[in-house]
Amino acid sequence: MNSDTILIIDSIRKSFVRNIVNIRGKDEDEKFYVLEDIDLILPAGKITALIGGNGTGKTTLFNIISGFFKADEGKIEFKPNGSLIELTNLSAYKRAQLGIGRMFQDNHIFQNMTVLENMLVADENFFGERPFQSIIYYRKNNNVEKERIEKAEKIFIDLFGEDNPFLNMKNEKAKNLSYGQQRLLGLARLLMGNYKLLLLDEPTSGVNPVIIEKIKAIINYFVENKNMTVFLIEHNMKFVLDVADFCHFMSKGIIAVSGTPEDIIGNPDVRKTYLGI
Amino acid sequence: MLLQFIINGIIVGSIYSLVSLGFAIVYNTTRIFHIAYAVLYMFCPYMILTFFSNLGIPIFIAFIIAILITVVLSLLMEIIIYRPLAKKNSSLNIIMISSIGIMIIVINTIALFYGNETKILNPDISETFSFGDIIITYIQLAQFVISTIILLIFLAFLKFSKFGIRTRAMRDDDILCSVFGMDIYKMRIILFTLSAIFAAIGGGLVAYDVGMDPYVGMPMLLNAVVALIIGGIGRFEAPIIGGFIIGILQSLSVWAISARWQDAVTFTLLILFLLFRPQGLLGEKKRAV
Repeated sequence: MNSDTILIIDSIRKSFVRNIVNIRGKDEDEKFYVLEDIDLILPAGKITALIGGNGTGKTTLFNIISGFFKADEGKIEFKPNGSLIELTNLSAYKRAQLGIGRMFQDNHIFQNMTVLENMLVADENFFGERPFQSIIYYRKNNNVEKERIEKAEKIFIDLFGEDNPFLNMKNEKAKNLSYGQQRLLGLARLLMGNYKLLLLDEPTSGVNPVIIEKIKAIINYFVENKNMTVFLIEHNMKFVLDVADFCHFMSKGIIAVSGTPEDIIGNPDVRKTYLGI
Repeated sequence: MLLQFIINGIIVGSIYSLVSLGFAIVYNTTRIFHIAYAVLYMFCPYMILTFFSNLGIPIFIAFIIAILITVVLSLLMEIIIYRPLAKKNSSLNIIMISSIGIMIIVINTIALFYGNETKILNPDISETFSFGDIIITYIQLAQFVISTIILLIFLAFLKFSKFGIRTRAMRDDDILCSVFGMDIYKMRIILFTLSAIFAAIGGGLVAYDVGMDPYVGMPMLLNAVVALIIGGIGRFEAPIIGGFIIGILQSLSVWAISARWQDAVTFTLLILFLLFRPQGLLGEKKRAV
């Protein structure tokens, strides 16, 4: 194990039960492994991409890392600042507090809250601090809240310049943003937290080329300015070539090929089974 | 005479608002169609009966003890039934059916110990006072004042405290809340506590006026759900407005037609809303997908 490793995934197996019609024509539940045996080490401060066909278990792996699914076997260790923490039995919110951020494939935003509130709730410890006392905690007129608002506005300016739609629409409901803007808000929001590792599930799906360029810049900003580690699932190979330092190709529940993005694209198996060229 | 009925409607409406808000607190945030909420409304008066009528504890203290026991019952439902089901990713339908199960069990248990017949908490005829032609009993006044104060306090907390922003976040997306480090099960404890308090206070105030039997919860739950739908699902102010509308409308139907028509009028209003304004008064239309 290298000293600049941030996440160690050790022999993870995960099965689901599916219903099939057996040879005698009867319904039968069958257990099948989505993840056969995943071993993976993520280097700190780098961008690692995970590619693979639909249904190969990429999102399942992300769900296991962020604590929404429990693996059948194997363990995951996280090393945010020097010491190893075993994640296997921690629930999702505790993993988030340790510094694992997550963005989902479809835009998960707080639709009925304002753009600014969407940023504020993502602040580190916002949800963690004093859960029961929150009832008697006047939120507007205190310094913590003011600092949070300044922090959110600074993030918008750093990422999108002085005149940007997020600052102009900060008091409007987030559902009024376009799909692409919601995606950018989802990424900007991750800067509010004190995250060490970000799991991004297909950040570029369904958005236009201009926004893809912005997403690229934001992901580089995460790594270069904030010293975060990024682990992303992606189908857009051009994007992977542009941003990723390392790439893993997943197939049939295992990591089939690993290397730099150029190596992966050059691999004959990947070309045949995934890229179709 | 008309004014008297409108005032009566506002008083009943304040109770509907309170009970409907308690249901909405759970429904809007956890999406659980908490049918067992009906028994919380019925359970509190029976606890008051035990402590006040049987043990002779002063009514005010008996009421508080009864509310606390109702909260415990509500938390037991969450911890023993809803939470394990939610952790298993059970569908909301399964959770709702289990909620019906809880309701039947509690109703039968209460009927076993206390009997099926109507019980009275306050055997005296309550004293009244009058403004001109309008006559109000003291218990009616208490119903209105206590519910209105609680509703106002809750709305203020929702607007100004951090609890408010948490609740709204959870209403929008609870998965996202846990991604940002919120322990949603701790939050659910607070929500189930609040909802039980609202049901218990509503149930206690009504039962002190008109008495109770083990089956009073369900009709009240139906009114609460109609108030929620008319007001607009998703907004916490909505059940309050819906509750007052139903209360006044029912009272007016007593005045104009007869008391038997109360429920018919309520559900006609529900059907009209579902047909012509399904998002409710305060709700926003959903964007087409």
